[in-house]
Amino acid sequence: MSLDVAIASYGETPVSRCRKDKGELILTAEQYLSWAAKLTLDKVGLTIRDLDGQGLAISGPLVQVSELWTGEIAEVLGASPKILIRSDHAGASAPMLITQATQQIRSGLVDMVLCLGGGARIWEEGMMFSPHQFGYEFERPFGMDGPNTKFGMVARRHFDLYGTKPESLGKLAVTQRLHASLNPNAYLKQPITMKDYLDSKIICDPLRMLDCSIVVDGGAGFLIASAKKAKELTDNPVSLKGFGTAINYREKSDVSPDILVTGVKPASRTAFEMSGLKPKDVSIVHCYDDYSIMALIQLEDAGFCEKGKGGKFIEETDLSYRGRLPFNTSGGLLSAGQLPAAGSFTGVIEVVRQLKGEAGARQVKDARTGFMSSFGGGSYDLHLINTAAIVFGSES
Amino acid sequence: MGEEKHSPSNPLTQPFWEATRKHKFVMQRCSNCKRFHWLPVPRCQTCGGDLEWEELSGKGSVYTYTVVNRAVRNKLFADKVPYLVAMVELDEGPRFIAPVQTKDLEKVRIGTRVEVTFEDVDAETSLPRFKLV
Repeated sequence: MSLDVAIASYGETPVSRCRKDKGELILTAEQYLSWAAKLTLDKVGLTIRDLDGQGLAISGPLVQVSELWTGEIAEVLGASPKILIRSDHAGASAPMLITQATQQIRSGLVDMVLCLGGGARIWEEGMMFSPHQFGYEFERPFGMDGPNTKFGMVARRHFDLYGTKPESLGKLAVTQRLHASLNPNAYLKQPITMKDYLDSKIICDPLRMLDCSIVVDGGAGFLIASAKKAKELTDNPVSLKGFGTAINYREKSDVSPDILVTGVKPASRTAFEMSGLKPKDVSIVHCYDDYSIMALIQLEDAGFCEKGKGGKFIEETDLSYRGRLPFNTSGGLLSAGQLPAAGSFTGVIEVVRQLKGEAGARQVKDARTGFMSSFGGGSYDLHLINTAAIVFGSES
Repeated sequence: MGEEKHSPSNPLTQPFWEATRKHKFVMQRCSNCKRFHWLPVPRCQTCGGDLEWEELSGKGSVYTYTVVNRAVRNKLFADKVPYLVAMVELDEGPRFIAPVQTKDLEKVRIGTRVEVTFEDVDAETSLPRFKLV
């Protein structure tokens, strides 16, 4: 089916870890979002005035802000949109904003919505505070150390139940770093080897340092529009083919869920069904990889391989930009960097960039269809809170 | 950054902390459908029934675990590395996360039987931990 909605444009600012000694940027969230808006609009010859009467969608910056921060961003931008959409879906923000913006566009209320994400959490308060409060009092006094421990536990179970090996996760890390070396906007560009991976320090067994994302400050944006409007703005819009979401999905049991199956399973089913496509039709994939193990699990949940066979699949498949299933061609959160509550913008933008044929040295040949999935929030019981999947196509 | 406290209780979770002070391990159970809940919630998530705190056996099996080699943000545990923290599936169904107190980390595997014990961290606070059965 056709949803008659497309991504017309996108923009990414440089990213930073606020290292003055390395000459890195130190900017506020507002500066990053404003910069991302400018990059996104410039690309299709628009100014902020063109957003008058249209939509503006903002992902929260993962640090404490006022309850009307989204409106304040509009104020900072000088924008006068008709509707404001706010995401507090953390790692699922971009597909969740796409889902909401699509409804507004299809209803005819607006023709386009500018979606912005990112922020300056390193500059504002050092490393991230626990992203959610429910259950927090039962984590730190019990030895939990945020997501490192949670996803270490997920990985341990996957390793033990399915025989998954460190080398499989290592291949993801090495391949993604190769991609990052070809992405001028990536934070970690130095290629790594399997030995580098295996030698990297174990943080929460079995996860190593190189299984964890690198947190960065920065901004990202994309412009989503009706198919008609998108065609007016650009020669190569990327169509939204299908989307799916799931909140607090628990496989099998509410009390004792199977933590190795995530909401990406139902979300991707919905997205694929809507698109009329199947995993085998997809030319590029971008899965949210705050931890390498979660990228592997999403490959399984989305149906690119069987549950439990993710490790084997990764080992047998060339996942590089020249391979059979180009995967996380931006370098992903492991290497390109994880924006505050906007890691999923990286996935959406990379898939769009590839389908537009604008990925430069890491361009995937003949990329026609792309899949992205992401999640926000690993809960106390290790299920994922917000999950979403999107199928994009280069043809309407 | 968050204040580091062992038992930051609120009205919803207070009964749990009061019980642990007496070395009792309790969770909420639905008075209607009998479902156990962990974490504490305002109402039964299955049937909407009222919840009552009930003592558990404290026995269960390791569902998964990790050995923490670096506690980046948890100041309470930074000097305890390496330590093993497990998610234990209790015999009553719900899962509870706590460190397993053992000198031999190799003894803990998925499926290993454990039971709750209590660590008295100060005059007012006792924290549930697991020990090998």
